[in-house]
Amino acid sequence: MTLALQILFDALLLGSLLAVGSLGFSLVWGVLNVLNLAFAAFIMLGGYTSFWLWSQGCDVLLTIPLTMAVLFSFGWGMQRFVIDYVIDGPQTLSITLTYGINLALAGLAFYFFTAVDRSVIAPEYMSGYWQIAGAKLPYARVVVVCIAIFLTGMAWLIFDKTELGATIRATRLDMEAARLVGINVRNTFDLTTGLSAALAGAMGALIVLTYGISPLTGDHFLLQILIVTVLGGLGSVVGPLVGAAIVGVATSLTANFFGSTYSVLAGTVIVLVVLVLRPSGLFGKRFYET
Amino acid sequence: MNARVFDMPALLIVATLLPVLVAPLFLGSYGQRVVATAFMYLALAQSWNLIGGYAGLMSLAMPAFFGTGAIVTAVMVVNGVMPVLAVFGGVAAAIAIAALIGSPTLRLQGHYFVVATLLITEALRNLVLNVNAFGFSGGTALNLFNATSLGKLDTRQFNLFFYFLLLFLALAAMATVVAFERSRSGYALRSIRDNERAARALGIAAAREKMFVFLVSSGMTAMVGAVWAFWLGAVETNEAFSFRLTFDVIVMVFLGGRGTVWGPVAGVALLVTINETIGVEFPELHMVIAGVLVGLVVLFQPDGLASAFRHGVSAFAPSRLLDNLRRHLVK
Repeated sequence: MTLALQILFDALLLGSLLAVGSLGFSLVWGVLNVLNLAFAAFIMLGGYTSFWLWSQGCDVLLTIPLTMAVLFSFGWGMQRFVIDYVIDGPQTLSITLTYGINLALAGLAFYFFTAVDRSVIAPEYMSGYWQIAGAKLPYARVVVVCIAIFLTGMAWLIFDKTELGATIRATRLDMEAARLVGINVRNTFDLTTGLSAALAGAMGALIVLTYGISPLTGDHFLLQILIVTVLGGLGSVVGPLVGAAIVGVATSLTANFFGSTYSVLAGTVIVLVVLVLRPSGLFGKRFYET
Repeated sequence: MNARVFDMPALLIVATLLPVLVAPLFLGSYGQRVVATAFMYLALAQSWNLIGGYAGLMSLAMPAFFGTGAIVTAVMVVNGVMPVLAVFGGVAAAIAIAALIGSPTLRLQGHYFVVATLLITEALRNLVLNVNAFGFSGGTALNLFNATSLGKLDTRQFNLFFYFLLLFLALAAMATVVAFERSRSGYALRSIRDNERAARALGIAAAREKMFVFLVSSGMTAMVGAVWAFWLGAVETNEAFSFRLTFDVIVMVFLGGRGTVWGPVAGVALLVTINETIGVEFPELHMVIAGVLVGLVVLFQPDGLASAFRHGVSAFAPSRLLDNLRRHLVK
């Protein structure tokens, strides 16, 4: 019982982080049809921004919205001045470009922050943990999970209830038709990447609070985000959540029973099976395929 | 097109090959190793060029085949198999894996293909990490240096041997691409890359052509991996399946010009030169420079340096570069 609960708590933490990240990542993939490898750099930058703000005396939880704002502008700018120029071309161009951006940003992080792991120390009101049937559940983790749920809820609200969300969904469904009704596709793309980067920033800020951050942390999580996104499917808010839950539980289970190297394998095998049988993912909606 | 390569006067070919053949006499052992590494990159670049350039498929499965070639060969050698047979064993294993994963993966569209190849490489890497058989334990490095007579060579002989072996592999890879480009398969693949549906309407068996080039590319990559294992003397799983090598190779192919014969040559030459000059002077900024370079090439001259062969140096005029920038701009 203790072990099962511990596994569940571990899964909860990883799953909620991946849910936030996957939401952001699938946004750019779904709307712009761009595989944004620079997302790893966004996560990493979010972590470092949060770390820097905290080291200047800012309260840990306050760093999250600030980080999101910073990353939003950064992502918006990156889209507007760089990525926008390859959208209309073959997909290999955008993948290579985002790879280059990721490489450059990781290099800058190595240069300015060095490879040392940085982490933020949870403040007084978050230290301590609950004991439930022998399993430990730190308060900090509960806070992280709550924030992740809150962000997902906000995302759903924006996409479902606001005009901005409708604009983004319309652009995703049919770019030409969106233009016909007067939507400025380029501006929508810029905003979407901004939102995606904001979510990446939030994920990074949460990571630096729980795991600690280094220049390559983003790449490590990006792989798992890819798995979650493909599993859950593009085009829905529920997809990433379900995908994250499955990956979180599978990873945690195998890590506990078979060792951590098998845990990534488990997630990978699951998603490969899904890819072959149902490429659009468990909850994916098919819109422009190629 | 690049059909010029065999129409070039024999003198020009000799003029290019001659310095490469006699260079070892003038280079120290470090220089020999740098050039030998360049040859290895060239062989890998041309194999990826087949699938990424001519077929237009952004395959990230290269580490999987490279690593399979390296590890299977190493394990066989350590268990007493003759080196040459072991190399064939490694190549065969890689082709078998390619055959297995090729069919379900190649029919995935767009980004799903890229992600699938990435995941397969990761899955294979994790699988091998957990293997414990035939005297090989996934987590530790396998030393095959003393298992062959290579261990008895002195440094100079060892370096020279691999210099020429890798040169041979690079030339073989070039020859393969040249032969491929002019073959029916080459034309079929390029038409598939440009518009798969139209190609199929013309009667081209797209799935079969893609599978064929996938198998060839995987075999070539595995052979380079096997030679690399002997060269290094020890193979370690994470190193063998590392993505860093693949991304370097992809960048070289892009820089030089994908889907061309001489593109990868230019790309390899440029990147190795940059690594040895700027990379040595400013090691901390190495990643940044590489990333910025990739970005600049993709934005301003996606056809790479090879466009200079086709259009002359004016391909790099500012007006042309700006045109390229705006060509794919979202409206």
